[in-house]
Amino acid sequence: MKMAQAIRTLEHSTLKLPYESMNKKFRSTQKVLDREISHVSGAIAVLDTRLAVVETVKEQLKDETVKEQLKDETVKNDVKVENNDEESKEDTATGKYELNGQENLQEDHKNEGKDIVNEDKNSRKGVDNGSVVALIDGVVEKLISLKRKSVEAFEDEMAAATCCLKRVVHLKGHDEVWSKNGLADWKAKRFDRMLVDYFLRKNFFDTGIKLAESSGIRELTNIDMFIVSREIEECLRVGDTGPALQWCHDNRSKLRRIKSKLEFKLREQEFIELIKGDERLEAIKHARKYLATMATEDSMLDHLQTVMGILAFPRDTHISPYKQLYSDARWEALVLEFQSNILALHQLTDDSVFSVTLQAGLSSLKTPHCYREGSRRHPECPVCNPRLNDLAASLPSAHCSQSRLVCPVSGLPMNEHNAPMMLPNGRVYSYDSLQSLAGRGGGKFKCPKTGEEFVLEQAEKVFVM
Amino acid sequence: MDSLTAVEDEVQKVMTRFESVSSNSLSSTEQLIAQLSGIREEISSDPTGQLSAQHRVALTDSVKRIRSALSRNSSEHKELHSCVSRVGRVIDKNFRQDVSSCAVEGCFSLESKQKLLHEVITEHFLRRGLMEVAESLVAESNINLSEDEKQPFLEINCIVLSLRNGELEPALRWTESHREALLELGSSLEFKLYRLRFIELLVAGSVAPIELIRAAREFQRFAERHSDDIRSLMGCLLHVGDVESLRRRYRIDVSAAWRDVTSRFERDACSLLGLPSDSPLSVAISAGCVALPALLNIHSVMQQRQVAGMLPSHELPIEVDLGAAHRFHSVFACPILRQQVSDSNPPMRLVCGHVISRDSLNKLINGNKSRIKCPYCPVEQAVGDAKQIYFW
Repeated sequence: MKMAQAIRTLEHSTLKLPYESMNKKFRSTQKVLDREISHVSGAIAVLDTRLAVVETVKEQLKDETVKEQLKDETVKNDVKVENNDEESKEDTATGKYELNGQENLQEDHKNEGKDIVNEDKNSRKGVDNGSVVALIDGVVEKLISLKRKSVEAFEDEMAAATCCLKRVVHLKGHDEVWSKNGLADWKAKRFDRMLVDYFLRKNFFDTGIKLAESSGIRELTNIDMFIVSREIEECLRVGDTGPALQWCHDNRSKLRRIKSKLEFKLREQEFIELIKGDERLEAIKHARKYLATMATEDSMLDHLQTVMGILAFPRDTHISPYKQLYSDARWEALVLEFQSNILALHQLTDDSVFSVTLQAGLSSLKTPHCYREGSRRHPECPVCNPRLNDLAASLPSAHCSQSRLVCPVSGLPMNEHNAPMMLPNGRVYSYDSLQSLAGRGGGKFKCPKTGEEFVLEQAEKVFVM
Repeated sequence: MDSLTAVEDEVQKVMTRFESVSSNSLSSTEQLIAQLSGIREEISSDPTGQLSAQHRVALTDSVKRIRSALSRNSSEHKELHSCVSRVGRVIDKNFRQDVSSCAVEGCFSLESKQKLLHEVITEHFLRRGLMEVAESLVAESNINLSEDEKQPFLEINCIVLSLRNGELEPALRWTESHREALLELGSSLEFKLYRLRFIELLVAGSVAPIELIRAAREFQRFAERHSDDIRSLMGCLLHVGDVESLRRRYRIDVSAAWRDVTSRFERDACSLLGLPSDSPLSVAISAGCVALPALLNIHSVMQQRQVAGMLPSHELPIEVDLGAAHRFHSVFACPILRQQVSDSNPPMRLVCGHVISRDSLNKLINGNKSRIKCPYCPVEQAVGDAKQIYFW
């Protein structure tokens, strides 16, 4: 039960990220399919038209005598028409194909076909196979390309789904009771997964990757997303907005949903860089092209007006806010903006699961004893560990409404089976511990806290409700 | 677990449908290619050089078929969309997305705190023997760990590695040099090591009896504390090499014994060095995994009912039971006022043995009475007879 709750609480991002990756691959597969299919349709349309020509021509040339007359001219004009054919075929093959434009294209091809018909009317009696075969080859070529690209896309899709499945199966593995070490191993892997995620967020890539590999959990972590993120960040740090803008383009709809201002800020920075390079005309063109349309909110418009203002100020101005706009520190701010966007996009929380879990754990273990002056630190208590002690200082401590006593000597619980006993100096120890202390000292023993000597008979029972 | 099964089911469904859609699509495309190529061959090998009516019809037909097949492929794939997005919905429905809501703001964000945190994590890796990872972390996070801190872990890890490789010698040497301290700890590590050597020989079976006797002689000094075990081990001599009987009758499991010895060594070695036997970070995190769900629940309830300001922020809002394994210090809550005791409000033992907090005691004194009665039993006493006690 506890495990089920813990999994429900901690593992959302473990499963959501591969799902999103699968969704993306699904969408891009659809695009690939549709694009390739439209290429095929284009090639088919040309073939279709050619066949329609044959129909028309054959009907028109039913008259035998006309056929005889044209025989000689046919030979001469064949060559000319063939060349035209080649050209028109090339044009249509390289033309643009849009998803919904297929019908329009077919209309165009029909019109072209009519032209060919008019040309042919007086010159040919039939279609020779050479041109038809060439057109068929064109269609086959596009079909083969469709097949090849579909295979790749389907494989990618399937791989993404398999990754989702692997993660779910791994999480289910906590339940494998047949393996004694199973649960302990699973928990160890969970801890490592949390650490890898923490390291990646902090940009400790080497450490994260090394840990993932040594623990065998690479596919269970989101390393790939962070690698993509890092590449974009590195480019931003050297002033290259290309990859970041490409990323914005790829994730446009989701970014719009989270009301991201990243693209706007990137374009703003490009504008500023143009001004830095003294290309003011270019800068204005750039602003007209990108910034004008993107400033949708009032606050953005205000900011934009300020930014445009730097057109009037030189690079070494001391007047703020223009001085800050010229500063290179804006790139680092862009990196942070990008990071927060990519986390939000993937619905990852700001704090790593590791930090939050650690805080919860330290709080629930924290007792006043751990911070008491001169109190004996329990060697096993994590909050008594010097570093964790410092880290947990500002955290709330555990709430207890039920008393539970632990013997300071043995660390074992003190209860009705092992009663707490009070010595004359007010210190309380378990009966078993006192007994064994007395046994070693031949009836006498020293209080572990104060060193005073006592005998067992001096201890009085303590009753705790 | 229901949530996981639900997600697994949806993902399996998606995968099955991916499989069928893709194989249908590919096979139909292949068919189209084959068909069209066939017609092409026929046409190009036609001696007349002209397109016959028959071929024309076949071609037109083929074209029609291609168009409809491809549009069907595309729409079949498109239909998978709902199946795919259902996976996302199931995940969102079954797993919490609000882990951060419980976080204490800025708890670890100061640079000094970050350093401490990274040092703790490095300690954790050293303890686990992940030296490369530890070094990488030290480099990337710019921290310093003194050699004194690293040294004990290096030694322990060396021996653990050798144990994992099936070598007993380094461990035996170590236990010999720390014999006194181990005995004081009450550890049976040395005996376990010799026992392991003995049963390895037993199980191997092909050793000369003199080897077994030599190994058995080592048990002499453990005779007092482990007589039962030794007797049972001697009995095993009847079954040298017979793994089945050894397992059934004497419960001899060699790999379990190795694991047992390795973990015992780790714990005892750490205890000797005054280090906790478990990584403190591990313990804290596993406590957190238990506590966090409960805390998140109460947090969201509190937000809903807007009671956030009412509870003391130096204490968690609810009690989290971590089990006896995670109880290291005594906690005493006065049974009357239900508050934890503190230095300013210590526990007091009444003459009858019952314990209440000083605040409760003062409440009992209401009035000019110089005698009070215990709330739990009929015993009466003078106020001054109550004694302050210390649980720690």
